[in-house]
Amino acid sequence: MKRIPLLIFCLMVGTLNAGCDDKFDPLSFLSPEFDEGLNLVDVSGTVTLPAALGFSVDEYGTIITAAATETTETIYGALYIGFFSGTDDSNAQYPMPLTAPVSNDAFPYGGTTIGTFDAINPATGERDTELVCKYVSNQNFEADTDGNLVHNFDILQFPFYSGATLWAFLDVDTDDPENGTCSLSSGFRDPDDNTIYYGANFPDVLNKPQEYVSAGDVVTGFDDVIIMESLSDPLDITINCHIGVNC
Amino acid sequence: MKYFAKTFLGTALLASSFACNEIPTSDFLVESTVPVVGELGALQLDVVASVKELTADVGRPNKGAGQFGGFTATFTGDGGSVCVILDPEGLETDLDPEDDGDSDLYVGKESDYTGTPGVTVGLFEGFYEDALGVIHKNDLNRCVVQYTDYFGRPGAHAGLGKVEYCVVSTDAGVVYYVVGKTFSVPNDDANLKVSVAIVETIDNGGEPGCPSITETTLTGDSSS
Repeated sequence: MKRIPLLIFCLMVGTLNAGCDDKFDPLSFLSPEFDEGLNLVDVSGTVTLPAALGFSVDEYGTIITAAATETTETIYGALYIGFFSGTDDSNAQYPMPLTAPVSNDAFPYGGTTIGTFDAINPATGERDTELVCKYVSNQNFEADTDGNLVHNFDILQFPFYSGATLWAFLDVDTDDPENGTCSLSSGFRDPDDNTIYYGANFPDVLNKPQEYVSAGDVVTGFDDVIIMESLSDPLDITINCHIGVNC
Repeated sequence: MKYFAKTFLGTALLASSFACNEIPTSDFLVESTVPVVGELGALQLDVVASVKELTADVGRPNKGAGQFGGFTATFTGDGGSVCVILDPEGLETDLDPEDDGDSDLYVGKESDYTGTPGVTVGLFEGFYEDALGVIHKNDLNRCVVQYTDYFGRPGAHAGLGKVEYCVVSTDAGVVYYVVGKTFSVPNDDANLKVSVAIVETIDNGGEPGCPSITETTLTGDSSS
């Protein structure tokens, strides 16, 4: 007798479901998977830094320097990858994501970062004020048989539009106050001295990449931008345009 | 007896739901005696030494009901740049929510404004269709306020009583709106005085910049 109300409840829910879904399944509300019909997809791919650029990595997989600038203290930072509506190719050297007027926002559909600014010394595992915006953790580049540096990436939960352009850049001189992508005045705060910050990415690097890409950075060249027509397209992108060096 | 209790409870819940349809009034907030939205008219461009300011006196918006408050003023672009200044009631040296308030500065083209001067306060925004035909809401505010945000990026609004200013490049003959959006009003009278002006820019390393602006540049907000 006690089960009758539960049965009625189940039938009611099942009936409600039928009103929303042509494929009537009276037990669908019990299913752990439910397709909301949203245009949100996950993709995976690889990003490659060609051996010809002379990049190398330390024992932790972080990009540390390039042969072309070995004598300087050039800092190679986070690598940014994003999907955009297209690129502006009017610049003779390299393509840049298209941006809207006034707001100058590129409105990326999705994106990700390889590497984080947390000023952690990989040897000690401790935060170091000397490394604020000067060292990137959580990069794990590996050299392939040709000496190219390769890293996997995932871009999650973004709306896919056929024809979207995949574009990437590696920031250099990340602590440059003019166009570095690391903010010296934000990020983790030292628990013993709250005036010390350990740095973090600016939040709009993919929204306004034109404000961050500058000489010394490495970006996707004209021939290497990937236009994604379908979700089955491979996403193996190369960034080989070293601005001011070979680009 | 049980049924009586349930009936009573149901009736009480039903009654309380009707009561929620009315916006509650507060016993401890002072009521404003001026309109929530003001319209100041045309601003006059001058050098900062002889600045010609206008002052709004606006009331507390009902934020809980989604209402925005503030004022609009206008100027016509001449193809150059202008420095727009806003100063809400209060001295930076004596900030007290009892008698100080906060208003945030926005500037944009008349055609991009979603509000109605003197009636509602809106935003400067439009829609941007990207190369793939996807529509995005586009922020068309042209005023990057001098303060920096948490990340050190310019464009953050100031707090209680603090003067805000920005440089706006204009198109000749185009009407621009200056909007002061009320963030808070003084607790003591709930009426916020906000002064606003436009002044000529100066050369700032090859770029147009605002001249030296202080808390006392504008005085209509009773801040000096």
